[in-house]
Amino acid sequence: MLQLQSLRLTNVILTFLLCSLSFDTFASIGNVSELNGTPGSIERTSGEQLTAQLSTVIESYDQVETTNGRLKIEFVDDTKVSLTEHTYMEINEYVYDPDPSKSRMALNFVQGTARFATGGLGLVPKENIQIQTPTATIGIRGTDFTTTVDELGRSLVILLPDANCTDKVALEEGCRPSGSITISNEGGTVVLDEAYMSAMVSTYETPPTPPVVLSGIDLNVIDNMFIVSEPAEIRQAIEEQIQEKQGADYLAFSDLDVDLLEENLLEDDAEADLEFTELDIDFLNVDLLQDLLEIIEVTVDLDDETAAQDSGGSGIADIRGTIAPGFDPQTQFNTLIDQGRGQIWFYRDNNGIISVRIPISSQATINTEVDGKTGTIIVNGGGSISIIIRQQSG
Amino acid sequence: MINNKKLLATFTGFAMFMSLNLASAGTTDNEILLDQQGTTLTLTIDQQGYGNKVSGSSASDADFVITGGTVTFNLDQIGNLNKFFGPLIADNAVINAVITGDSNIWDWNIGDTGSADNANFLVDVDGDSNTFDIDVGASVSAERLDFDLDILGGTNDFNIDIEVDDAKWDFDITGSNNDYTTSQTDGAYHKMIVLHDGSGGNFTLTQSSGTCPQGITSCYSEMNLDIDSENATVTITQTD
Repeated sequence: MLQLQSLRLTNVILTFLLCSLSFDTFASIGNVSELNGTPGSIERTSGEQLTAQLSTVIESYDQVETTNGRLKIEFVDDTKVSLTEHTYMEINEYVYDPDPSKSRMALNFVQGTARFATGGLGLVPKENIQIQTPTATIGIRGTDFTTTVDELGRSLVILLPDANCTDKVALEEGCRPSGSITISNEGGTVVLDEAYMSAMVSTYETPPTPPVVLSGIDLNVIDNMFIVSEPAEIRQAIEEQIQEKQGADYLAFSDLDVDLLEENLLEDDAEADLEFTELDIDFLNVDLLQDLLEIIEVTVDLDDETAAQDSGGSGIADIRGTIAPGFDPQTQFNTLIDQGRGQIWFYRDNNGIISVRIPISSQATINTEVDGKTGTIIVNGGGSISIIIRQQSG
Repeated sequence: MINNKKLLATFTGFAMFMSLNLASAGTTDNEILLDQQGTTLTLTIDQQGYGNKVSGSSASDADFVITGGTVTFNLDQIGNLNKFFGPLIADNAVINAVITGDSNIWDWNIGDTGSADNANFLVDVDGDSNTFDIDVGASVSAERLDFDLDILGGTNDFNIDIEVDDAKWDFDITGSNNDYTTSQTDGAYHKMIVLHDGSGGNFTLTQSSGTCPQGITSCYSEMNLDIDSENATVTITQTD
């Protein structure tokens, strides 16, 4: 009898321990392994905000942000993510299962410069790793790369050499790349398969630039300076891409416009085809964008409905009249929902920077007038606070 | 007129206490008339009471005169219904001002004569129904300004124009029904940072760049607003 009771007690304890282990496995997916400068912050889904410290536990769905410092995160599968200054990353999903085929990782590099190195333990299959930037999806076939994302979502991706030859001398002696990665969006896909091969993506609809190999750089110079001044090879690739597009597409541009207008007026179900984002427009050409805005102004109502559906999905704030969250190529406003600060952030960088933050619960009407083009963003029905933004180039 | 700059350079602990006589709003109980010219002035005014006036003339609301480089001006004013008519401060000026009270009138022209480069202003206001009219670099060359203004109170009305290259203009407003109009013009590299918490009011913010410095083809302006308000109207105009 005593033995039976003891056995039951043991079972209860084992069950408890297993449950605890399972919970811990779910809760902790990694930790902060390195810190430099001002500590960054970590925001949990519960709204709890932590100051990053060495060994601070990382959980799935955490949002990690740095200011004037850097930090490195090591995940339980040995994947390492290093964030430089002023970088923001969201862990959209991290499922770690004893069966590797069921493990998944999804990260969203929203802004700044981050270095990603997949773990060598094989606990999360590469095909189950999804890295997202505002303008591209990165497929993992290699191990080590960096992303630099500016405020507009433009993304510069650089494949790094193998971990054993990260210095310049070793690279010149024939170091191999760390594998290959794909960069994809609605405009197409490119493959990076050489050390320091790089591509730039300007919008989700614009194809990535053709890959170019960057010269004269090493890991120490890959930081947010690439936001301010991209590498010369990338700048040339962008210019060539624009020239190519102007040569091929712009000549037929007026026909394209006419077709769009006809479809918009004549077809009831043409909404999907008329979305501005489906036009193959280079975001870098702002003047062209403004011309297009005038032409497709009639689609604004349809876009409003789409935006409302988009934001409604977040379940946080009802934002109409722009893409939220995300970058709206019409207004060129980036809209971010910052749950940590409890704010909606509208940000536009074109002929000057305008940044407006309002509480998520605000009932705001924002009227924009950009170089004579008008728009209206309604937050939570609007009507309480009225914000009028006029931005004109000189 | 005071010509001895040494005398004014030690102008510290300048305290005045008002009588308890309930004068009418239009009455000026105490007056400070300043006319100071010269460099490296350090002036501290500590004023308590109400119905006072600091200006350049007892007969009118003319600006008092402070000219000369490297001026440090500390003001601590406590009381209501005070009037403060403006410094004409030149290069390398540091102004630290704390205004506590209601219904004060503050009219400053900074850099009205001579250049007004490298200025640093830190101003805290705690009170209601105050009126501010401040011009910085209005009629002279001015570069590099760091202006921080904190206002705690309601129904304040202020109009602040900054015509300075490379100016950082940072103001925090906490209170209801404040009205303000401010502009950054006639230069480049403007940065305006606004933190507003309070219902009601009308806010008009204008930022326009002038000529870029030589060799620079793009001189962006930047405006950052953080607004928590209801029933307010905010108008933002940015011209590059």
